[in-house]
Formats: sequence, C-alpha cells, structure tokens
Amino acid sequence: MEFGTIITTILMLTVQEGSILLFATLGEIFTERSGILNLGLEGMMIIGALTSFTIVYTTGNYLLAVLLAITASLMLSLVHAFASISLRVNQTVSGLAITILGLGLSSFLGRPLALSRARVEPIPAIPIPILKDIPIVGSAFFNQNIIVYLSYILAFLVWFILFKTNFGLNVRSVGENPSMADSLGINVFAIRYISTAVGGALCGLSGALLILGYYPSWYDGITLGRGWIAVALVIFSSWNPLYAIAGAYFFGMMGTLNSTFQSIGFYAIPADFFRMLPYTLTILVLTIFSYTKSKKKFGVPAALGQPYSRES
Amino acid sequence: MFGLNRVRFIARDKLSKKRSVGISLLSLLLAFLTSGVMFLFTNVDPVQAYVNLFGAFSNYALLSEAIVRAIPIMFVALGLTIAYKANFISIGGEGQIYVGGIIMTGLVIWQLDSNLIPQAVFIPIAIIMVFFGTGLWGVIPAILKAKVGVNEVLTTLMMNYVAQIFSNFLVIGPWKDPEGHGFPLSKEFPAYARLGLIPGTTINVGILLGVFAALLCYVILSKTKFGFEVKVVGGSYQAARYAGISYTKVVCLGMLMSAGFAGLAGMNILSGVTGKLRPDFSPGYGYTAIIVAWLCNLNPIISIFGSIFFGGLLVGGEVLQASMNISVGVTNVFQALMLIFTLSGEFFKRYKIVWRSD
Repeated sequence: MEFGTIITTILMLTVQEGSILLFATLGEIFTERSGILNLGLEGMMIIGALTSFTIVYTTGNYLLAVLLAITASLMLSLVHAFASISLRVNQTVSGLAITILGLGLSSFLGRPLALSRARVEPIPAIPIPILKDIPIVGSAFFNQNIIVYLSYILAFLVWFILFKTNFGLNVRSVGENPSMADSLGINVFAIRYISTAVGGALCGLSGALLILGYYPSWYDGITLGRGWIAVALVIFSSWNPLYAIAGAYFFGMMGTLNSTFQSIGFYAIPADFFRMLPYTLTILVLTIFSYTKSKKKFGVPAALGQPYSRES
Repeated sequence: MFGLNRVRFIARDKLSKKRSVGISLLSLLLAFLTSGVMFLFTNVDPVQAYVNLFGAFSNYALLSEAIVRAIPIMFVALGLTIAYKANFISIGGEGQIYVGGIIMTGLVIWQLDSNLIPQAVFIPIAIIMVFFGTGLWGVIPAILKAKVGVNEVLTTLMMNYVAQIFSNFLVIGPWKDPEGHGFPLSKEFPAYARLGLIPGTTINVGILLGVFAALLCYVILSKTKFGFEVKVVGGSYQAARYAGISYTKVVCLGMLMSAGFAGLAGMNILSGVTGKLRPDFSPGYGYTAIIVAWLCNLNPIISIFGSIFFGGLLVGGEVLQASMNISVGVTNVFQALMLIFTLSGEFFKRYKIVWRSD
C-alpha cells in the first residue's frame, strides 16, 4: 500500500474512534465543571448505543435513533443527578452503580439482538466538497458522517459556553465554590442538574456514533471501556474542552492501532498487546499528568465530588 | 419547580434501630418493584422471574452451587472492604482475580515440569504465593495514588482490562495445553493442586478459608492498630497526617491485603471449580463484590452472608437465562438497583422530610 494511503487510513480510523471518545469526554467535562463526578459514562454510553441500534434496526430512522439514544442516556444521568445532588449519595459509588446498571440493562435488553446477529447499515458519510480533496488529511477529516462533523463543532461550542458565557461562568463557580455561588443567587442545584444532564446527553451521542458510525452489529459490552477512557481523558485535558480534542484523537489512534496494523498486513506484534495498549497507556499518561501537576492542581474544580447542602 | 421548594430536609437527631431496618427493607422493596416494572415492559412475567431468580434458596443443589459462587465473591468483597475503609475506592477486584489465576496456573505448570514443591504442601505454598503476588499487583495503584496522586478508580479499572486480556492471551497462546486438541485451556491441574470438596456437596473447602478470611478481616479492622489507622486514613487524610499516620504505608499495606484476598478468589475458581485456566474465567465476580461490600456496610461478617445471597442471585440469573431465555445481565440490573436504592435510603436515615404548609 502506498505510504500516503496508509497515513490516511490511520487518520480516518483515528478520527472515527476519537470522535466517539470526544463526545463523552466533553459531556463529562461539563458535568465535572459543575462539581459533579459521574463515573457512569460506560453505562450511559452503552445504553445510548443499544437504543440507537434498536431504533435503527426497527425503524431505519437515523435521526430518531440519535435523539432517543440521547434521551435514554440523559435519563440515566438524571438518576445519578438525583442520587448525588438531591440525596447527597457518594458520587463515586453512585456512578459505579449507574455503570453496572447500564451494562446489565444493555445485556438484558440487547440479548435478542445479540442472538439474532442483527446488523444495521452505518450512517452514510457526507464528503465535504473542496475540503475533502486536501491531500492526506482531507478524506480522513472531511469524508465522515454528520455526527463526526458535529463533534468538531461541539468541542468549540462547549468551550465557548463554559468560558465565554454567563451560564458557563455559573457552572464553573458552582463547581469551585457552591456556597459562594449560592449566596450570589445562583441556583446550585439547578445548574448541577443541567450539567449532569448535558453530560448524559453527550454520552448518549457517543454511544449512537459507536453504533451508527462503525460497529453496526450488537454484542454484549460493546463499549469496551471507552466510557472509562473518557473519564481519564477529562483529567488529561485539564477539564478544558479544547485540550480534549487532542486527547481524544490520541487515544482514538491507540485504540485503532490493532486494526490499522492488520489493514497494512503487519502481524509481528500479538493483537492482544494492542488490545491492552489503551488501558496501559491511560495509566501511564495519568501518572505522568498527575506527577507534573501534583504541585498545582490545574483545572480540577475545587468542589468536585462534594455534595452541597445549605445547612453545612 | 415541582413544588420542591416546599420540601425541607431536617437532620435526624438519632435513628431508632427499627426505623433504620425499615428504611433498608423499603429500599430493597423499591429495587424489586423497579425491576418488576422492567420485567413487565419486556413481557416477562415478574412473579415467574423472581421465583427463578430466588430459586437458588429453595433447592439444595442450587444452594450448594450458590455457595460455590459465593466463595470468590466473598474473598474479593473482604479485600474491597479493607480498601474502602481506607477510602481507597478500588474497583480492581476483577483484574486481581485474573492475576491470582495467572499466578496459580504459572505455579502449577512450573511444578508439573520441575516437581520441586512437596505435593502435600503445594496448596498452602500456592496460597501464600498467590496472596502476595496478587498483593504486589494491588500495591501499584496504591503507590501511584499515595506518591503521585493518581486517581485509583481509573488505575484499578484499567488494570482489570490489562489482567483479563493478558490471562486470555496466556491461555490461548503460550499456556495452552499442547495435548488439548487446540482448545484454549491450560493443562489440567493435578489432584494435589485442587481443593477438596466438602463431603456430600459440590462446595469446595475454599468456603472454610473464606469464612476464616472474613473473621481475620474483622479482627484486623476492629482489633488491631493497623485497623485503627485504616479508619483514621479513611475518615480524613488531614487527621491521619496530624496523628502521624503514614498514608502511604496504610494504603499500600491495605491494598496488599485487598488484592491478596482477591487473588485467592481467582485461585479458588481454578483450584476449586474449573481445574484449569480458561479464557474469561470470572463472570464479573469482581464487580459483584463491589456491590456486596457496600451493601454489607463494609462489615466483613455480614459480607459472608451477602456473598451467599449474591451467589444465589447469580445462580438464579442463570436459571432465568436457561428457563425463560433472559440474559444473565438481569442480575446486574437487579444488583445495581439494590445499590442505588440502598444508598439513597441512607439519606432518609440521616434526614427526615418536612413539607412546609405555607
């Protein structure tokens, strides 16, 4: 295969996998900026994936599939919101419960699909004129489906909302110092509910892209820890949506190395090694990041994970 | 919104035992009802489903099977209890099960070649090796957390994937039995590397070890200086520092034990049940144990019974899958709902609701 084509293939797979991670990461950044830690990403993502699969399989309607995937994931995030915001449950444990719930539900509800080996047609790619003709990167970035294009816009949109609007300022102040935000008249509970819901919605989009974009059949546990990698990506990106783009693509590339090497006919390293890579790399990068930032905790919302009540 | 501004929560002064138990039972009942609704929506007869799900507790053979499954859950849950008491949120039980299994299988294969360990003491030596070997694996996230501040939830979870993939790699590749007709299974463990069965049951003697481990855990946590230090560290990092307790020491030692116990769970599955290494040999015991540990309120003794209960649920889930063609995932749903409702119930143990009349 020609060198340029190989690079384009790698980049294309990277963008596909990276966009899946990016949605979930952006959502979790929004949630965590308001002070709520949601470890339920893996569960919400797989529920979004199952919903979109079921809807496309039964109706063939992609828009409906995406919208319902978002809704389903959002509803699951509201369970976490109610438990952690209103009932002040330990957020780590509540998030874990959401993940277990989502994985279990998807396995229970998805069993007929898994047994029938049902398949759906992936959402068609829409090449963007002119841009797609840029050498090497053109077809990797601009011959994708519409959900991927949405991820490009959304990263900037989330950054803009968080850092350039009043609402974003409120979200961040609630995440930094909820009691002060409260005394300034910001509705801490409402902001946290909304931010958690935003996280849930984007995670649903992640799951929908996973199915509608690239994995048009269903099997148990199809998300393969992507939700957890997104949680780690939030830390790598220092809670900044723009850094999240780089992080998501980097991990997207690591996640696709296996299929990349297979597609160019390179089998010298066992496939299991590549399968482990995103996870070992996550630990490694987390360690390096925590090490360099241990002096100044950059970006961590000060009230992250702490329930807020007016009495205390 | 929703008239919620009329609701106020007032901290309870003290909570009667009766009311506390009442709230817990109500939480579980709600978990039942919620999954019942889920069954209704998916055209499954809820009564029939529950009869199957809890069938393990009405039938001697199934109960015996439930206890077999409870053993690994118990070991992991005990380990997690120690970690959680120190406020170290490890979810690495599943990976530690695999590491325990890998060490055990490696030891057996090495012994089959070299025959250096006297067969009579093979199991005791294996227990020590598996415990400390897996323990060291567990110390990795502890050091990373204590020295560098790396989030332990993420590291322990990522290590689960690494351990499981590596275990499967070994059994499909280098450790595959050459005379196994190409099946992805290791060599059969010899009799001296197997755990005996309690006469008249299918339960292996690992249950005795499990109960002993629970008692040991209880003693360590409530009667020793280390147990006290774990609680101080778990209560407040600052308080521990003022008291001159080394966070690093407590967390590393705690995780050594935590992962060590989980490693024994892996050993138990291989030596007590399967008799060889298989791909994906743990059906998520490490995750079930997280729920057991929390639902049993981080109490090692209660965890014994909690593990048997969840072992029964897993068996029930399989009965459900076989008889009604429902995914075993349904037990995970039920577990997660129980956890969510019970945790939420804790709030109502601490606060009472007052409706303002104005």
